Amino acid sequence: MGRAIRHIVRKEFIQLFRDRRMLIPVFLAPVIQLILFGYAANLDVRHIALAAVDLDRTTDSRALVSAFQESGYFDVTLSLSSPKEVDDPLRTGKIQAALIIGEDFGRRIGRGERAPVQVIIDGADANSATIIQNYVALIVAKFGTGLIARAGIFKEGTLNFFEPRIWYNPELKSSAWMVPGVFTLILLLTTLILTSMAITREREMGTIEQLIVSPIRPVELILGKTIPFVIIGLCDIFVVLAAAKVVFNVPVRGSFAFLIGSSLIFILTTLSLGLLISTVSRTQGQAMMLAMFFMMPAMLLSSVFSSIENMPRIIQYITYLNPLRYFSEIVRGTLLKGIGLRILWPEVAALLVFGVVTIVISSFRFKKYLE
Amino acid sequence: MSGRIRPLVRKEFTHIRRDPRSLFLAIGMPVILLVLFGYAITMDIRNVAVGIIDLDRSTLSRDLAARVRGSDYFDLVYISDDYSQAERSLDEGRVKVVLVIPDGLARDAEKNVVLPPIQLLVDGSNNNVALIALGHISRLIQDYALDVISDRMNRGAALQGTRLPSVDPEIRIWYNPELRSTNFIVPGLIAVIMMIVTTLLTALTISREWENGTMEQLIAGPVRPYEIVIGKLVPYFVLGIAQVVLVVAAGTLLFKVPFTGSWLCLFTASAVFLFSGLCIGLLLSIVAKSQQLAFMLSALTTMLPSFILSGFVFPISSMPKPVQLLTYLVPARYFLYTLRGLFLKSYGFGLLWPEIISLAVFGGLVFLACLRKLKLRLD
Repeated sequence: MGRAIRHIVRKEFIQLFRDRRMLIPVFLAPVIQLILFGYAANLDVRHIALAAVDLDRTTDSRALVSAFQESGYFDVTLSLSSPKEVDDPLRTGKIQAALIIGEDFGRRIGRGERAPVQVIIDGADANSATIIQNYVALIVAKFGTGLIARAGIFKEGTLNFFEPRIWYNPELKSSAWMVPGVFTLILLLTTLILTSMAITREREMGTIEQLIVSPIRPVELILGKTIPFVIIGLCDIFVVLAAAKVVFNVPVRGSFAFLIGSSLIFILTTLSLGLLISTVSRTQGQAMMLAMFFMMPAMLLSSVFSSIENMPRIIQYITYLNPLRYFSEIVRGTLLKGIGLRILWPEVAALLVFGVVTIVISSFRFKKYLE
Repeated sequence: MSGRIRPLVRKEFTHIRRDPRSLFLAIGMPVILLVLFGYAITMDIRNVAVGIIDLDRSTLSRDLAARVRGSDYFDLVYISDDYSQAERSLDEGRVKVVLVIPDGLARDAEKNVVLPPIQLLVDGSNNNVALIALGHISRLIQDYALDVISDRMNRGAALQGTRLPSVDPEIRIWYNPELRSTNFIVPGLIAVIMMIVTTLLTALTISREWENGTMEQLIAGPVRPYEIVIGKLVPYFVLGIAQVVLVVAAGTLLFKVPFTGSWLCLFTASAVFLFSGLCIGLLLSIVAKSQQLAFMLSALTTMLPSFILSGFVFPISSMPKPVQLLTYLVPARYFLYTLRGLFLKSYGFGLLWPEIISLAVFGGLVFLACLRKLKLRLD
């Protein structure tokens, strides 16, 4: 049995890399993608172009404008003399927000009253708008505390109402969250695409008949077909993790062995899913479409692009069918939080169940297909 | 010329018809994906799970807990007086933020008027969620603290009559007043999905002919490269237009995303975009000898790049400069900008022509590359 498998494994490797260019998408592309997307996938909003409309022109109003500028989030790029002028630059995207300070701003503050200011934000990019809104509130709140302190009623430093401590990612680096996510996506793409066409191709070319008439048993054929991709997948895991560590300095706080072990379970799942697609498709075109049909939802319904807790209930239930959901939980937990099996066992168990079920179904399909 | 292209087009249509499963997937996939993702993806961050460790157990601390519970942004998961619960719940991911109300809160408020700082433990692993949660919670605490202080001041004799100045931001959101993220997500999704699907449509066409050996027959005939390329493009262009109509209809009817721009502009931009997407697929198909490599290449060049580099969720202006330059090579970038402008900001040709021209130039260049590569192969 061992010899037959060895031969198929060798054949698969020869076939896959006969076209040397295949080495590029299989080994080089994952690393390039991780680096590129690790830098690009960033939800921070910086350098928000802000127009200031200061109708008050007092020390207080000027102090508020410079509080925005000094926050590091806003660039005051435009100074306008009337609120009406805001319309045009906002629509064309020259500015993303406008700060309008009314005429009696300074006077109201002097009298110890509430002084309203207006902030207009371009909502077309709803996500950036939410974040900008948040920055505005933080800056204005800080400015307000400064006013109270200036009034001299309280001692310096006593107006410190809260004391935040950020865990797991103290500098709030975007890459700490995104790079592990991108790692899971790349692993999914590479492994699933490779296998989804593996058997359909043999069928389209008629070479599957030769395999059927040869004395190789179905189990050997399945193993022979999967082992090369497991090896490739493992190489990818190491290469991409190394890139994450070297380029982005993503911490590995948990057990490395645990991480590799669960990655292995994950790629076994995706590989057998690919084989399943490969056995149910008649042409390579169909296999490609089916693979896309699985990959796109898997990618978008994991927590890489948006958080699952904010999705509608029904869709949250659907995400339980997504192996990527569990895997990204495991990868981020291990890397950032340093937690292991003790806390992550439900995710590992779910992944394991998912893997075993797909392996059983796909080998069953495959066996039936060969007979 | 058109006499020779027509049979090629007809042949390609026959191929498409003969495989109804692929045809169904090709037409149905964009709509199904749009519906699924349109509902699923929201960038709103609400219901952030919060835990409270109340070491003070006073009316004052219970008042703070009540404010957290009443807030739209937070979901109060537990209140406890056991500090060890904080670490456990953060590790397990049950909560994202823990408020630790210190012992002596009520006493300090009574005696010194000001409050001791409240400790916030924030799970920073998702920096975006952490930052937004931190913003909401700090505003909530500040409001609470100022209310407590003014309340004490009004009652205490010493500072009676002093009023605290404050700045009240009144925030207005234009173009998308309810900040519905569907208005933002759906036009973006249309661009991203169409990018991926159009490239896939043509990605296998020529590599399949190479694999099956039918390319030789084409070469032996009197057809020229440009006739083959156009013959391959036309049927999928028709298919692509059908897809665009379907997804735009789904976007406006199902998700009620207002369409405020010019329809003519939408049509022009879609046509130019489809052309460049299909040409990319075709080029990959010509370059790759096998269908497997063609699929691999098209997935690499379209899937993640159009999600991550197009400005779909990650703002391009925040990317490092070299990466920003790379985004100009992603056609989805131009189409996405066009669609958002058309849907939300009633843009027309006046503002969108640079995007449309860029797409056209891009498509033209890829088209020329297709011709060149195909000619080299034929020799």
